[in-house]
Amino acid sequence: MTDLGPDARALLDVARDAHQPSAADKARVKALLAASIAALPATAEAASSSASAPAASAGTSAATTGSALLKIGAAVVAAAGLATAVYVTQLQEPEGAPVPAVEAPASTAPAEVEPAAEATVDVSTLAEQAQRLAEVRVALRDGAFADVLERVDAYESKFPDGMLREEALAARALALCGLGRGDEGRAAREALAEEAPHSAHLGRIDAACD
Amino acid sequence: MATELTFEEVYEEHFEFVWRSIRRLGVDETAQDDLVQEVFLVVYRRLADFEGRSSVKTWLFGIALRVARTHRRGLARKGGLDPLPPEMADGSQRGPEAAASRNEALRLLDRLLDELDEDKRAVFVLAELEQMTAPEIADALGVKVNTVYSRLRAARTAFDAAVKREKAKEERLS
Repeated sequence: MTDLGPDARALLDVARDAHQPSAADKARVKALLAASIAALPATAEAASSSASAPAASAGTSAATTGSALLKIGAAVVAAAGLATAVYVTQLQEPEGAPVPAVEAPASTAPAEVEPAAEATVDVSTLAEQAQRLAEVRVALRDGAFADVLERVDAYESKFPDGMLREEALAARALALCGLGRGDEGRAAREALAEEAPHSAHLGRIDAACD
Repeated sequence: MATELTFEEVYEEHFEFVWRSIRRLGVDETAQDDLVQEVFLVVYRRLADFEGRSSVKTWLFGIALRVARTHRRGLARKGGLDPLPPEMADGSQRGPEAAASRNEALRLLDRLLDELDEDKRAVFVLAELEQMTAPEIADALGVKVNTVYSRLRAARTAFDAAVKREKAKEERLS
């Protein structure tokens, strides 16, 4: 087997523990995922049907597999009162997926659904916050930096202590640097570093603002 | 026989692996949240069908690979990638010089990984960064073990050559 030279090995050694998510990353994706799961058609249908229906299939049902997330997700939908506004990742099957999709049995979810009051996140605004940040990410990806700034301003104005504030601050810094306003971008970077000194976004901002 | 694992257990135990894998498969940071979600939504829908013939980790990587591939093809169809340089790891917990040096190394790594084709990249990432065995990688990618060895050999050769090329370039400039 071909082996790698010492320089290549050294580079891989540096990289091996890189790209780790923070606890905030894990919590954020979990909350967004919960909202997406709650907005799945099968779940929505289940939420309006019997609350005591037994699991219909052998093995582990989607209702039991996703129960903890569903508690939050269902609350997101209930509190937002607008399932269509929830940020939902497109449920397109990846190309070439070898295993046929298994839909969550509609009759299995409701037993796990809890009232909105049991949610532990700020469910009343989470859907809107996630939607706004998704739009910011799209604008950032498209290089529409002025649009990013407008959207971040609007987000911060409406949610000054929003749970996605770190992402909003990072997007502001990236957009400012993208517009060539490096000094302002670096100042925005410092504002982020003050609030989130271990933010994984700082490295990216440094690269963008070089 | 379906798995006894719950979705919550899979998420808690393997989130970090999925997060890293999506990133190492060439997805930039702006799309990372969405794609990691997408992987777990597939898991949510299919966990009941997962029979445990492979490890959860290799099953997850197979899903991540397909999700990342679909994403990259979508970007290619749109005619471009993210206009910003990719996010490079968490250097903020180190000293500024060490962080800068580390980030530079990680930027280089990403660039070199981008030079590998998708098949070689997947094998290389699993072998060299996740340190999986060849049978595990074969399982994750749905290929024969011999194919893993041949792709890994080719990927190592290409990667090593690229590192030497970059080093020579640096030496010329210094």
